[in-house]
Amino acid sequence: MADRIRLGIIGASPTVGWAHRAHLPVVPAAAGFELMAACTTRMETANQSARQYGAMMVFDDYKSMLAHQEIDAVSIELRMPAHYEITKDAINAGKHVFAEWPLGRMRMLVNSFRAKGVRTIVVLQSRAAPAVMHMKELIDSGYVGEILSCSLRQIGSCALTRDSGRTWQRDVELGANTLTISARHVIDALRFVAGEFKQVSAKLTTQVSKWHETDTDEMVDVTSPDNILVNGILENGAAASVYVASIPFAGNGLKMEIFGRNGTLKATSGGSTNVGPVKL
Amino acid sequence: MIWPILTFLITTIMSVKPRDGPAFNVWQTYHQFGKGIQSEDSSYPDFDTVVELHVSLDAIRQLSDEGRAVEL
Repeated sequence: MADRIRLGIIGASPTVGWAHRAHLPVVPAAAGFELMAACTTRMETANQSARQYGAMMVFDDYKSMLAHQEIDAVSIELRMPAHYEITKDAINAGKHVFAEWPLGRMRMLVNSFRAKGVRTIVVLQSRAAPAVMHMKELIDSGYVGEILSCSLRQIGSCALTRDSGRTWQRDVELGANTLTISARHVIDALRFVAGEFKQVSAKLTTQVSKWHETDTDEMVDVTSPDNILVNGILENGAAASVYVASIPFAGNGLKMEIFGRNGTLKATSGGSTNVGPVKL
Repeated sequence: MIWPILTFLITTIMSVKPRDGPAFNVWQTYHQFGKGIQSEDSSYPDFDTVVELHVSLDAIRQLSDEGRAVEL
């Protein structure tokens, strides 16, 4: 392998999406990486990304990119239903994989990535938010003493309308929804700072069973949960209460509080731990 | 002569490095991953972490489906 990790981004749209928001702009500034290739479904957009962000190669077919010797690692930045096949192909091609959560059937790939000797990282980026990392350091160093209880609330307002580009989030079978994205990221942050759950009880509900699709002007059925209520006990004995919801109006973001015997830590964000910024 | 070049370099660096929000967090995860690939350090969330997360998500779904509730 070269000194720098030669990265190709699959789903490297130059104008919309997560790669455009959070990957393409940062890879050129990431130590140890070189943005080698941009892959989209069309050469025009791949070329545009390559020009904007300085990739050396372009592809409109991810399989040709995976077959290329000068690619060491790939980021897979697609809508969730496409993750599994492409991740599997990437592992089989011997590439390190930078994968997005949620990953659906990804557990089936756990053995194959090890057998192929490639590295995988899953973008659970709450763990990389500076305020969350600092919170963990403080807790680990005994700043709040014994953790007695935790309260976690994250409320976003997008329950009533979406555009048809988001239609894959309304079907519970497709796996990307308030539970698997919003709740998962904040629960991951809570586990990261305060410890694993030992016991849970939970209630998931779909309070808004139809969305107004803004561009098609249609009402469409929603089967994904939009209210997630989880209560439990952590392995360290702390009581934890989690409420994550997508509501119609005035969602007010994140509040994560850790109540210890010697003090309280509170993290807040207008958004959430995965999309920050977070204040401690 | 040197100042325009320096100013250009500084503004370029400042504009490339995200300082907060989603891009910042993703940028940080690239650093973690880069270290992992180059040095066998594995202090980042990988597919094994995801399996643990799936287990807890599945538990949440299952409990919601089966959970006992008292009708009032």
